[in-house]
Amino acid sequence: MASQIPFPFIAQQPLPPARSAKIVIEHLTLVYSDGRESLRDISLTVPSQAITVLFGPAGGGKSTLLRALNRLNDLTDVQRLSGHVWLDGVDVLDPATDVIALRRRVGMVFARPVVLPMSVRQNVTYGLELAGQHERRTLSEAVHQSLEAAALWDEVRDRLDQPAASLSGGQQQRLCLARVLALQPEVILLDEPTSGLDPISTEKVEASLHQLKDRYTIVLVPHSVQQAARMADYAAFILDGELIEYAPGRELFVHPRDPRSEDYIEGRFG
Amino acid sequence: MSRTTKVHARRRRRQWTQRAGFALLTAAAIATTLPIVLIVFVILRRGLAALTPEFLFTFPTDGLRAGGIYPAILGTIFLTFFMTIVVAPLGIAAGIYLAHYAPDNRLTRAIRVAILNLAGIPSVVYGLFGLAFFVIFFQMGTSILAGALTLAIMTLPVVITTTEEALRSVPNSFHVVSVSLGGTDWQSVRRILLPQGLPGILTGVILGVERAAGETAPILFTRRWRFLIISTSSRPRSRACRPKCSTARPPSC
Repeated sequence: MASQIPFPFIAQQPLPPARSAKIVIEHLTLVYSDGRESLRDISLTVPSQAITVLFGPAGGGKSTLLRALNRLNDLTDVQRLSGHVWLDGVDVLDPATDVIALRRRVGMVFARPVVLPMSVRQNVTYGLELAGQHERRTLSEAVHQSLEAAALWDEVRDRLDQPAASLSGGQQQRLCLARVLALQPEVILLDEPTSGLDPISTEKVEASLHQLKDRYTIVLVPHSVQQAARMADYAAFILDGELIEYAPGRELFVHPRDPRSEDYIEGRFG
Repeated sequence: MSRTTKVHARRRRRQWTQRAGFALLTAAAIATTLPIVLIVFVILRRGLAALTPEFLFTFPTDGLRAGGIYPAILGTIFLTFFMTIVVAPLGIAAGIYLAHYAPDNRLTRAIRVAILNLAGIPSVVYGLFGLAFFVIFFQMGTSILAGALTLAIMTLPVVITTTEEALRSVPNSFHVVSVSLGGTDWQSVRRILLPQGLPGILTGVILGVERAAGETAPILFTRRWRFLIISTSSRPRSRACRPKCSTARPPSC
């Protein structure tokens, strides 16, 4: 499937051989039940082992696009949904697709750190337990590794059994990331993960994302253009439900080709 | 100089208002608790002497005017027990359905209205319903079973609405997170919604059971209170009755 849709920028910068298309979005259109059109004919290829950034003004459909990738849209009233989202050649939007298995492969971190009302440890093991994993050794191994990967282990190693709500905001958000990592997903979706965090926590989250991108496919909705520019291997500018421009990050932020992306990046609107 | 005295005066006035308000609130709190304290005190003071094992564990005599209240206590215990067994699972299940699964359509709206109306029906009507439905239609006769079922139906709306409210007060974001981690609807309910809503649900069940345990009217028609009065001396063992039967003489007898 991936071969049908070439990267729009493939002429300028061929993908390194290690990177292949992980998610292919084809003509995705989504209309909410209240008539709001949220996504209009979006086609986009998300490469693996890189950070793809979806940025643009608020209300443009970035979160909607993100939620379509692991079918969290099922929870909202969607009136019309057309097009395809291929994850390794499997159509995510097909009603016959096993959503539970899909969501274990495609994890999500939300804008507000929502820790579950249980201990730090239980938050990390929650997803695994839902999947039927109860062996204590495996679980504690997963706790250690995911907290380590989310750069949180050193801070919480002595308080694993305290309520997760007692952590600071930045720690909670990293816990949310660890919770996703524990499931060993292939894709991690992050919806403005640092919007409520102080600069230092933001830096920690960004640092761990940089670490993680070697192993995972990361799709990030940043909370500012600056963050978009810092993080993007590839960047997609989305405006009012339309994909305006998609290019390698360095290229898009230095030499945007579309005047609208240029205006937004320069801070003339948004 | 005059300015500072003005500031002082204002501060003093504010402090006075603060104190007066505080005193009022304290008085209100005392006014509401005092009657309860007094009632308990008077009852214990006057009644404790009468509360002998004989009174508790013997059968009433002389048409409930003398003797003990053993059957009444037993009856209340059995009724409440069976009623709770029926009402708790049913009500909690219905509450879970309404809070988490029910779509917002005409049918569920009708269900909600029905539940609210059920809560507003006088208890005597439940009694008559129980008489018609359980005692006569299902031929249970006047029995503990018929009484418990009647009380259960009466308690149901309280349990359903409090369960629904308790579950709705759990932030939806927990559910979204659980789903995003590969959880099913039921896993959200069982692992997050129910544990979080449990205090509220228990409050609902306890309130409902409490109300039902003190209720007389539905029992009048579904339990054999009348039989009890007529034949206590001859067949006391199987005829448990509620304490209020002796004092509140119903119009139907």
